[in-house]
Formats: sequence, C-alpha cells, structure tokens
Amino acid sequence: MHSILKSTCTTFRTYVTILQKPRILLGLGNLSDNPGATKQRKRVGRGPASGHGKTCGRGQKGQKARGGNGKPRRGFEGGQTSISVAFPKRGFHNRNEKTYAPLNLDRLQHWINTGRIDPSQTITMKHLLDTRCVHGVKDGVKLLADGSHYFKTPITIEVARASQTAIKAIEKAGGKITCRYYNRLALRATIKPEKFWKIPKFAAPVKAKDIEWYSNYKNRGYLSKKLTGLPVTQANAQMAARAI
Amino acid sequence: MDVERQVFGAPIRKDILQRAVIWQRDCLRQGTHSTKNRSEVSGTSKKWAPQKGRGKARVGSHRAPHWRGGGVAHGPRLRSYDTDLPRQVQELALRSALATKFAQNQLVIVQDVHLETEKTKDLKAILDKNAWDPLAKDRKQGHSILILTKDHKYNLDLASRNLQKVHALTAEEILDAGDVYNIMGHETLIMDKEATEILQTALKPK
Repeated sequence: MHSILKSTCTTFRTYVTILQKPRILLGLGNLSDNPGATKQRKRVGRGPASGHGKTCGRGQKGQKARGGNGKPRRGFEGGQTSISVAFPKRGFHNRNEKTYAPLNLDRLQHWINTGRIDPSQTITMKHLLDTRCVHGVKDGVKLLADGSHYFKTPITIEVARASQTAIKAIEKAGGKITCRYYNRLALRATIKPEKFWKIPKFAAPVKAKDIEWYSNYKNRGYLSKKLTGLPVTQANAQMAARAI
Repeated sequence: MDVERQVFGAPIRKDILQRAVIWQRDCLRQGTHSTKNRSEVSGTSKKWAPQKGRGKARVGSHRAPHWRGGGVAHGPRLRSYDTDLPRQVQELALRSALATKFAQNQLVIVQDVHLETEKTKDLKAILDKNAWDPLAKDRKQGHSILILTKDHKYNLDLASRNLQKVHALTAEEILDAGDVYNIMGHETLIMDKEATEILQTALKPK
C-alpha cells in the first residue's frame, strides 16, 4: 500500500466533465426509486375517512358483496362433467428415463468429410448440434456404430454415452473417446455457453447406477480409475469430476 | 491508469441503485421468525363450556386467538424474503455504483494493496496519512472504507478486521453477489489495479 502513501485522491479524475456529479452526495441514505414507480396498497375496512370504509368498495348487498365468491376452481366447467373427470389420466412418466440423441459413425464421418466438423480439435456436443449433425439433444448424445466400417478419421470426442462397437471403431481409427456425465445444467452450459453469464461447475453423478457406468473404463467413463487414478467411490467420483 | 468509460462513466441511476440495494437486503433477511397459531399451541381442542345454560358467552376452543394463552392470528411464519433481480439490472446497478463513486471523487485506484505487517496500527497510519482516517475525531464519524483486491490478502484481512468501518472484499465477491450495498455503503472505495480490471471486463456492456 505504499502507492497509497504517494498518491492522494485529488488527481484521479481527468474526464469529469462528461460525468454529471449528483447534486447531493449519493449514499445509502438518499437512494430512491422514480416517483410513481411503486403504488400504495389499498387498505379496505379501515374507517370512513379512508374512502374504502364500510362496504370496502363492494357496493351494497348481493352475491358479489359476500366473501368467498372468487373465481371457480381450476378445471370447473360450470357444472358439466369436466374433462379431467370424464377422461382421467392414465399411465406414468418414468423419471429416470433418458432420451439420448443417436449419432451413427457414418453420419459423423460424412460431416467430417464435407468439412462441417473439424477433426483436429476435440468434438463436443456443441459442435455436433451447431453443425446439425444431431438434432434435439435432450439428455445428451449417444454414439452408435452404424456404418462403422466407413469410419477412418482419428478424432477426439466427448459425448454422454457410446456403444461398445462405436468405442471400438473410434479407437481402431486411432481416435479417443470419453463419456461424460451431464446433468441438465451442465448439458445446457455445454451446448449453449453463450446463454451463461458464468459457466457453472459440472456436477458429478449422484445415482449409484450412473457412478458405476461412468466409472467403468469399458464405457470410457470419465471417472474410471484408468483416467483419474483414483479408486471408485462416490466421494472420489465427485472429486474427480470437480478436478476435470 | 485509464478506466473504461462504459463502466466508470455509466449513467448514475438512483432508482436502479435503490432497486439493487432493496433486492440485496431482502435476500439477506433470515426470515426465521415464527409464532404458533391456534392449531399449534399446546392444549386440547375440547369444547371448553356447554353451549347453553351457563348465562355466559358461547365458547369453543380454549386456544382461540382472542383467549389468553391462545394462538396467534396471522402471526409471522418462517419464510424466505428472497426476490429476483434480472442479471442485467444487477450489472447496470454495479456500473452505476462505480460511476457514482467515480463522479463523487470517492474512488481511488492504487497500483497494489500490499501491507508489510498485519498490524491494524500500521494500516490505520497509512489511511490516516491520506486523510481517510476511519477513526477521525474531527468528523462526527470516521471514514468508511471498502478495499477491493483480486484475492483475499492475509495481512489486509487481519489489519482491517478490528476497524469497524474498514472492510476488505474481493472483486469476485462483489460481482457474484451483485454487491451494490457495500459499494454504496462505504464512503471511499479503494481498488487495486487487478480488481479494477476484473470489474471492468465483467461489467462492460456486451
């Protein structure tokens, strides 16, 4: 703080002219919203002088003057059998279901051949979506092996899942594949980073099934011992995910 | 040092500053107040006296709000006071706050905030020398000072800890919390160059 010693606060502003200094020194004590920005609440039944006294602005007797006469409840159709009673919901939604956008290797090869994807840099789901190689990434992209005998380019790719044959085909071509766990936030941050003020930390998987899958080197899981050097436990998985 | 015109010369919006401060103070509220209503107060719900023949008023529950020892009607409940403020409004408010400090000659940018010791006495001597004495006797109250750096500095944190009106924060903390309250709540804002850079790049309108 020696520089403070040398400097005093006199010579710092050089272009003050364009800044209009507030007339009164602004501090916490004299901030205020614009006039008319807020409205006073209407307080009914607080005496005749208020103007909303005796009948509270409801006029004289009748249905509308009584309490409890609000809107009919949601789904009420005036007494007619409502649609939700006539046709009740059936079935259920599987909360654990994941919908992966499939991507086959021949399509990926075609995209590389036509110059739409650059194989020299790591291919992420963002590149795949931006070039419309996949559509509608719901829970991630799963790499599949249709047309794998056409696949010849060595690539580095990061996706949510991959089939065993696809992994084999990519590594046979001299490439590298990593399967990463993406929760909703991480997926959105991956495919639409421009929507984020600050890129969030990517969460580690929490469900035992996910931890197991992504810790398995067979799946080229990013938490597997071979890639992280740590034995597989939930705490280690989280640590590894954070480090990556 | 040249500072970014779009940040330190931003329009001073008193209303936006107010909104940001209100929002921040709302979020700071604990909301841990609670009372018991008539169903939560301990005691029976049995009818306290017969309906008729007593020559007195009809009574039901012993724990009704108008009874002594009864529940509280419409009392405070545990709740969160959090409100939302759009990110862009937060940024505008921060720009506005920095511009206010700049325009009012309350902003000091220094090369580096480096203290040799962690002694409060030494920090106070430095501040005193520059007429920012936090304990000044000639004023009603001393100067309140906020010092912003890139990271927390051990010496600075310790030295400023026992000075009631001097606080040391990081630029990152200010950005993360949209902390207009602290900027406006201190008279003098001292920043080092690194902190200034961080604030400028983050707050410059895209």
